[in-house]
Amino acid sequence: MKNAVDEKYLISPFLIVPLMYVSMVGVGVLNFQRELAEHAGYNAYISVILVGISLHFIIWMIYKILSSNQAGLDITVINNACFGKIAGNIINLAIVLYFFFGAYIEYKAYIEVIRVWLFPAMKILPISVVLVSFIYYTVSGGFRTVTGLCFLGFLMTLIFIIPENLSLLPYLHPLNLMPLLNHSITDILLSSKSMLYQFLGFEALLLFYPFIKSPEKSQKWAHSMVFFVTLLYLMVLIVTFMYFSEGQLREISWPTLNMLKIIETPVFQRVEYLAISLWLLKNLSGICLSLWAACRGMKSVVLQIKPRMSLLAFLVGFLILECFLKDRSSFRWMAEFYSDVGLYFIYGYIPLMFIATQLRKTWNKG
Amino acid sequence: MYRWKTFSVIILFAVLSACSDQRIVNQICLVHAISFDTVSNGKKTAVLISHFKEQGKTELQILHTVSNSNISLPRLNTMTNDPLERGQISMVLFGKTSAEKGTGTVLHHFLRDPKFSSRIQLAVADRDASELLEITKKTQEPFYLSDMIEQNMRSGNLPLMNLHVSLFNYYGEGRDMFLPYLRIEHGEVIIDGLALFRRDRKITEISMKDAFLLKMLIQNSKNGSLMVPLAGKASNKPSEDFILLRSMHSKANYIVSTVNPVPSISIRLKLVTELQNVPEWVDLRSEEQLTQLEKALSSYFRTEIEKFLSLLKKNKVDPVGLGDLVRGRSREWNAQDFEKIYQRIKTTVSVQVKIASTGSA
Repeated sequence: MKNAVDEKYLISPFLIVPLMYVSMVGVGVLNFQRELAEHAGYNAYISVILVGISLHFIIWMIYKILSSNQAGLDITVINNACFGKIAGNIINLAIVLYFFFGAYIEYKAYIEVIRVWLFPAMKILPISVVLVSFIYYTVSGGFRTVTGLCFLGFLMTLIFIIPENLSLLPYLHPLNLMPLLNHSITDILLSSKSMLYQFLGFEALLLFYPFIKSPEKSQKWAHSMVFFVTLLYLMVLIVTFMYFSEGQLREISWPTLNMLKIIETPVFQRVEYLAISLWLLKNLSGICLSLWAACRGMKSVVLQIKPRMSLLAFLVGFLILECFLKDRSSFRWMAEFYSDVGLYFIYGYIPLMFIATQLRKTWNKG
Repeated sequence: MYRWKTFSVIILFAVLSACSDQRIVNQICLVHAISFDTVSNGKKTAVLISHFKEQGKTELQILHTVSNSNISLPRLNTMTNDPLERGQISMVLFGKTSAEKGTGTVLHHFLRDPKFSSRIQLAVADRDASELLEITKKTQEPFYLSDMIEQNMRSGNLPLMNLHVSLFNYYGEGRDMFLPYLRIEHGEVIIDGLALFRRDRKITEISMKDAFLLKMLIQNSKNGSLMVPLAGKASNKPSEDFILLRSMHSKANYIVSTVNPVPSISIRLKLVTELQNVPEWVDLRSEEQLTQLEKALSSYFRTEIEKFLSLLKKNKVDPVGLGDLVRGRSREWNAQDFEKIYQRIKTTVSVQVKIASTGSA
């Protein structure tokens, strides 16, 4: 099988593990429990399982879509082939914007965590400039640099998520999860929607697929990562539900960080400050991956813009948005819009493309 | 090119470490304990702060102010030369009247503010809480009260408590909050049982003995100890015969048999104890006497727990979380309806005491 990308830029199939992890575990893992419980109450863990199962199908479809093309090309080329030059490019541009806003929302959410927990009076512009230059450094280094950072982010967060949950054991009330089923299907589906928002980001696979050496070998890793991340979310969610009573969870905006407040170690009296700082690495790698995908997408849209130029444009866009989007309500609106678009992207666009590419394949054969 | 890149990365990391928001320990006033009282002309807030002079030497000081807001830390801040820092608070005290009038706003504040640790200890005083701070100041140990409560949870009769547990009980439906109840005896602070709350108001207080029963009902009562009066056959003065026992392990099992219309719950307790002191006429080497003793202890605990539960029902407080148990078994449950039937709940208790060791005798 011939690859369109030069051999020296490729990554081995196993390295899809940190990439998938980083894109699926966002800053939302710090506070997704509350939104989930809003609709389905303490039955919300069912939503996590539902979304996890559905994502396995989506991943399977993504691999089918991408491998339908013999040359191992990414989604932008397939779009052009399926919908023609103009319509294809409009869709590509939409995908680029989607990844750009995904990166921005992740970035903004992290800034909010810093503001609430670490430095309430911090000026945003200086730290934004520092972070943006760091992102520039990583993304301009190419896909392999992004993968490297993702690997670090993957390790950094794993070392605290699992021990955190173990240290809470004496405070857990398993009875909180009872009764097992007292919410309607609609409530559970509504919670599933906000759960999907946490998973959003893994669609970057559509764009970095050609960068994987022998991509068909990576499929099992992608599936096992979806399984692992679902399990991780499920563990965090169930531990949260057993740790907080339902009324208490309603009052807390960052449950995962709040749980860290119970841990006391000899040197660090508060672990959450350490955790937030470590989270920076994970978060930056997620942002870098999304931005890289956006730049990669730009490459094939109309003008063949160089990734470096589009990256600069995106980062300036970050800073401009930072200056204009000051109030919380417009950011919330943006995040909600993004999650709606994500819902249609995952459950509408991808199955559609799946059908389209499969039909094309059979036609070409016949 | 590479050198330039490495250089810029190092610079970026240096800038990221953000030395903008410094708090150096001898340029701030750490608050160690805070107390809330209701006085005739408003609400009184007092804090115990420390000044660090040199290594190993701390000077404690108490500041207080009266205002009409609940948390007057900003007002207290105007009385110190260095800024007050609330992240180190380890003890929150409620005075008698403020606990009876309601602690809800203070609790909500402690829930919302990310600076407070979840391990803060809360307690209720039998008088103005600021008097307890004065005594703590004399001990010259800023963490005296919180350490006292914590060691009593580990090696005494107090159940596991801290800010998180109290908030869990306060915000959770079908359970009520309880806090240690502190008194002053001969100029020293003493833990005299637990104060029981309904929502955010203190309703009643229970003795250390009942605290042990509560600990048995909600968790493993390891290390708690109790004096059990023994109606001895050979004794002339029954009131003076006591067994001092220490719990090594205990486990409570709850079975909710019916939910509607009035729930009935059967509680099965298993308690493994060590006898620390027995009257001289008890022969610990005799198997027969030991089994008899186990039976006597079991029936003693049964009646005591039944008495304790009826005390809870009489006061309409639910520190055990019986409401939560019923909630877990029913699809439709609401706190108001449950409150109405709480006093009529049927509870049956059975206790199985096992003597694992008879001490050094």
